Amino acid sequence: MVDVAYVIGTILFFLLMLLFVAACERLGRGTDVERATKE
Amino acid sequence: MTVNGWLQILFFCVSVLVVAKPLGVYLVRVYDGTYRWLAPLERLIYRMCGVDAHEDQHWTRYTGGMLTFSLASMLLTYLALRLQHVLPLNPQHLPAVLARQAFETSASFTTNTNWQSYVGETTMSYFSQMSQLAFHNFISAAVGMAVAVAFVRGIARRSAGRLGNFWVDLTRGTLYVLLPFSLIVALIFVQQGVIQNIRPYLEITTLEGAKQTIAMGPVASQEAIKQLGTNGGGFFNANAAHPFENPTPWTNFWSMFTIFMIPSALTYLLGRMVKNQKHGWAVWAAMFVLFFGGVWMAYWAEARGNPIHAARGIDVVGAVAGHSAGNMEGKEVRFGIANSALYATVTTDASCGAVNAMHDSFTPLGGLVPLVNIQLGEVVFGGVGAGLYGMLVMVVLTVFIAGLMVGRTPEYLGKKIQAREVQVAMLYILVFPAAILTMTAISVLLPAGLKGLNNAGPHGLSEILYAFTSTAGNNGSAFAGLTGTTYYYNTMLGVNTLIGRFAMMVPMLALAGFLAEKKRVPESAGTFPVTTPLFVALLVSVIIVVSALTFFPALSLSPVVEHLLMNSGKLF
Repeated sequence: MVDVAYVIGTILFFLLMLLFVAACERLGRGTDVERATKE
Repeated sequence: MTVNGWLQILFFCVSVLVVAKPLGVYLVRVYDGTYRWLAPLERLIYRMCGVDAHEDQHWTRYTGGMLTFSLASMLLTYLALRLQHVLPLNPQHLPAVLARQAFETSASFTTNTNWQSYVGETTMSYFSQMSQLAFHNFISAAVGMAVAVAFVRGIARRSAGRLGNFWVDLTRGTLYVLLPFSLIVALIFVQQGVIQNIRPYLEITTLEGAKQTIAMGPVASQEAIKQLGTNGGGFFNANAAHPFENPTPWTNFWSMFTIFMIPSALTYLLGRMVKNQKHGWAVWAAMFVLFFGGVWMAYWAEARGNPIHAARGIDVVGAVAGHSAGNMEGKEVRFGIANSALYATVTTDASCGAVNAMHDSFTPLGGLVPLVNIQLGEVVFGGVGAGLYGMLVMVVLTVFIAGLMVGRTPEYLGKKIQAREVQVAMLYILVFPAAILTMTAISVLLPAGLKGLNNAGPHGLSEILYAFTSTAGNNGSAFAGLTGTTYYYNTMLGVNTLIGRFAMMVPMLALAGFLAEKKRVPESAGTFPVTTPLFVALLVSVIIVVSALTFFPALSLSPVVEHLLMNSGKLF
């Protein structure tokens, strides 16, 4: 049971990191659009 | 402080400077693919793993590869540690590693932290040491170097966010850098008396007639990559203070030198790849200034000793000689104060975490140095790769602040630093203190956090703060005095190592990707030069100010107040 909790917790952490990658990429694109609109 | 001590420190500093260029040139050739003396083996690895070596990956794909590889290798290690009792090479018949320790250890070694809550010689079988822990010593270091090289490519190139190929960088770093150099260093260690065998432990009878177990093992091979890869996880519980791991002053020198060797050379790689060698040396100089300040402070504090000992006549040797003998508590006599202070500074500057003395037994100001070194963000030479990319994020911040001072859009080596670059740089900088301070605060409030504490007052706070600083900084050294073998600490510290590694790598690689999308603009009168002593001074100031603003309140409640109380005659 403890093993399952640690393994699932680890997988969830890395999934969160993949979401973080997507968020950073969106942040980059969003700022680009904002800058282009201003220009 | 003695002339002998300073001469040894000077010899170390010169060695680190001298190795930067030749090894830096070698690293450039390895990573740009012009120096491939094991090409058939490299191609075989790509074919077996299905890697397209010619693919130039976007930063998101590069980061995704790094994350999935780390997840898979961490889960594999967790499984191997839990099944250690049924796996081979276990002559001591050691049982399976506890679930909470297996989680913490697999997280810790995957992230190049190597925090150890277990006693190596009574917990890990030879199979676990050789196939899992040593494997991560190589791979986690190779991941760090790969990411640093990817970051430098981001600065040097204009390539629509493409940073190279993670699998190629990982393979080349392991095959051409870590494996051959580890082999050479392991042979040096064996020649100096470090043991290397897979025999069962020796049962001997001491002169007093007592029975004693002498642990054996493949120590030299693990010791070499432990230092070279800035991993730091000792084969034995006593780490580099153990005579089988670090028997002579020469092994002590090689241990420290191999920690700084690759991080020093990576600054040369930076200069070569961005075609501005002076900038590489400027970054090296900034690292050296911070390093030297730390060594001086630690050496001074430890050589000065504890005034309470002198007042009570305990400092007998010093009293006879007419000066303090210094603080020798927790230090190996064969290394003395100079080499213990130097080792403590090197290992905490470089996110290594190996120790040849007990940091917990240092004087308050001597113990402050390792703590602050890690809190600077492990950018002072730093872990292999991690130090360079951490420092480059600080460079971006420095250039941004310099731009604000003169009222122009900041540029770094011809790339404009704009809102999104600063946003992700700040994410990188904020994750680190947020993890450390939040978890420390939770731990001093919860009974489970206070349960493992062996010292009261400010020293107790130092121990908890050091544990979370060390794990978030992926350092792994312990202040000791904190019993970390509980569900609470095993889990919290394990999670902290993961946050300190991956939640910082993601925004850093995003920054590299954003920089790689930009075209280079020619230098103008308003461009802040990144090769001058002024730049070095500003960079050092920014690093100190960011760290001081973040951690000074916590430090003033721990080592600083402990130092003041020690001077007034109170110890913890």
